[in-house]
Amino acid sequence: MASSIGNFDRFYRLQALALAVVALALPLWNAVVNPYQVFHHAWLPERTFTAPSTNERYLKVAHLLSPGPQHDSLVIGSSIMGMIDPALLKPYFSGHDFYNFSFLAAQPAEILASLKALHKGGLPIRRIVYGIEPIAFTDTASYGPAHVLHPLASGNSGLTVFKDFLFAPSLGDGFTQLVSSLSATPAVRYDINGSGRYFLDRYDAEYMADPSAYIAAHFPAKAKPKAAPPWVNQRFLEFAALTAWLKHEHIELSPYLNPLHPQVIAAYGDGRLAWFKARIMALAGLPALPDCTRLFNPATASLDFYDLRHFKPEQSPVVLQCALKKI
Amino acid sequence: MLFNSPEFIYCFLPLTVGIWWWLQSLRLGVAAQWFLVACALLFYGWWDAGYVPLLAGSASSNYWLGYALAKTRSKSLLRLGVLLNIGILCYFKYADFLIENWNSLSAHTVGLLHIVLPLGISFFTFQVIAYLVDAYKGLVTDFNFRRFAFSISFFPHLIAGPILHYADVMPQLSRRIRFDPNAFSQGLFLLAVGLFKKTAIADRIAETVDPMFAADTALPLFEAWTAAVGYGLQIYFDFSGYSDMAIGIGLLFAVRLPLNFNSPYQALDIADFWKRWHMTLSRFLRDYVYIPLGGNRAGFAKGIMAAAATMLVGGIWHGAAWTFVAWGLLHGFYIGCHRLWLKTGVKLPGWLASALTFGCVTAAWVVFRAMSMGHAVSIWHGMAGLNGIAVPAVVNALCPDCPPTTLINGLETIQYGVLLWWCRSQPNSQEEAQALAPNATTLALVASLFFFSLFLPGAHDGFIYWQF
Repeated sequence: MASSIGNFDRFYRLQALALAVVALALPLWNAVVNPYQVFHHAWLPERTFTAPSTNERYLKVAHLLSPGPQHDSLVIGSSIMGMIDPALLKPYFSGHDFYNFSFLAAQPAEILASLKALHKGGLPIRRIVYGIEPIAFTDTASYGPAHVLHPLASGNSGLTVFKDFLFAPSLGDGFTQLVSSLSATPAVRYDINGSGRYFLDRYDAEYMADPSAYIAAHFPAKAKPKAAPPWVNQRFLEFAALTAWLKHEHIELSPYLNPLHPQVIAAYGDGRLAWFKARIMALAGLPALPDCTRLFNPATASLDFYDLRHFKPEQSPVVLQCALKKI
Repeated sequence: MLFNSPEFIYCFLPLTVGIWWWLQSLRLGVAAQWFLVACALLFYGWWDAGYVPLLAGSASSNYWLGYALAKTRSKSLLRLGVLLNIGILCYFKYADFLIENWNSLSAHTVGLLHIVLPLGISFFTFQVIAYLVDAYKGLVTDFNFRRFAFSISFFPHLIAGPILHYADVMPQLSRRIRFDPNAFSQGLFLLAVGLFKKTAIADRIAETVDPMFAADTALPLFEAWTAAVGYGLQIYFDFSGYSDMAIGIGLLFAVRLPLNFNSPYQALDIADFWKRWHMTLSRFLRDYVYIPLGGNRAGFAKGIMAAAATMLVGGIWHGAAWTFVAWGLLHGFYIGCHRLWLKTGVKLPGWLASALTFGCVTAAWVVFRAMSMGHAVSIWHGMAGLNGIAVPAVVNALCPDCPPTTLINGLETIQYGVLLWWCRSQPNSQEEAQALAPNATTLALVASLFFFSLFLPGAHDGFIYWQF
């Protein structure tokens, strides 16, 4: 039997108090735990930018617009591009200083808004290397505050963005951040204040500990073939806007198609991949597009990838050789 | 200002409630009412201050028009008033739609006006029309501008209802408002439940449903049904959540707003559904459209035509698109079929009647949500299995050779099943609020719902009915 609280005169006060405590707990939690790493404090064990919820969209723009070493060229794309070390681009583009400006699950509209923010903030951009893959054009997942753009990119005031982070619904992200802060081997580590790339430390550690178990877990041999989701038309419009803006600003673009795992190739099918390539070329007005989709040997591809999406950083030189060769 | 926004929850609501009761404790009830009218203008202007004069002008002019109608009983004045209000609504809501259709029919290229729809205009326009009609009929006795302005602008219902009748709120304001801890507790309970329905349920469902309605492909069987049922649940939890919050916030001011939802998915027939879904709109349509069109009094066939026309008005009220017209016509068709069925005297078993009603309502939601008629037809095809069958991962064993679904994994079926079971068998939030007991369990429940609403909502923003 539920324990009575007496009459409503007492109950409404307790109820109002309980709701007030819950309400105040949210900004307090966000300020202390800092799930998106946008507040500048070190109240928790010092290990910045190690949770997947780190808002790299915000932090990378803030870093590039802060006083310090200036980069004039960028690597853009989704998390697949995120592991490319910008230093590898030096042999291809001498005199350029690259920063990895990729975002997890980046959509062309977000990339465009963030590039415009950099442009508005006075960062001169000379060249962009853009690794494209069909996954970014079929992803329909909803993302939360970890994907909120920098105020200069979103057009919202700094106060609005601060409020959004302070009152962000962040229970899951906050716990992830706590676990990452306390974990010996974080899942992901962002080098935001350096090269901009990230490292998948836990995947590396798991693979080193037992490669065959890792491969069995991430590439199950008996997995049923999957079908890729339908295209999201809006993404193509965003992509067209992005390439048009780059042209307008006279920024050199080096686009290419990223390598795909054979299972992903099978999920899309040859017809859809060919259509995708043709559409990208048409939208960007490209006479040719380096296609590294089938770069890796299907028989050994599981050694070249962390999972079905991300190729390993060791493969980056080979990928860039394919992507940036003279065509 | 959204009910689920920090500025509302942390600032606007606590301040207005606090100052309201402080003024009431000083026996300054009149000042308290004016205070809330001013707060409502701030609440409305937070979205776009440019439309505050529209709201203020509508309330003032209609008040004086109603007053004149009560004095003169002039039919032409009534016609003028109703036409004026409908004209303003048409200008803001339907002008571009009419221009688009004129252009496509006549091969003209009249430029679109690109008018931004003022929030809540559909809701407060219906409220003032009801007031004018009743003033003309001599049913309005209280001509007090403060109470009228309060009743129109009271912020909990201003943007998305419930659609008030002047008699819902004005009589409450003419008495001294006294603090009632029971009502206040019910208000906090409904606020927490409504917020939970919106942010933790409807917005989570939207994360699955939106991509399916945006997909550039013909949805196969399971995905088409998941999209249709999912949207039916999303709009129910979104709108009933909003209504719960509105009624709950009203109770924090000791103002009772009318019930807007009464377990609509428990309806046994389509007429029953409309007695339970968006009840204040149904009430308006019944009293100010259906009955003036003749209602049941002009014979069976004309009654059906009046009902169909009423549903058509209801459809168009929701928005300027052929999909809303089709939705209204479809419900009109359902009502007609239901009346014909009643003539046969055959009674279906309760479970079958309820399932059939739910199926019809779900099929109609498809055209309500679809981007075009062609899109709706494509999803209906999918629901009929005409776009092929793809099997979700969780039931893959049933058909190992079938292609897999790409937008759902089948867990949605379990989620929707639980929510449907809840909607169809459990007491609704208003009934729960009536039976609220002041104990630790209730306290824990309210705090938990509020906690999950704030900390775990889905990634979706506005309320569906704000766009109407």
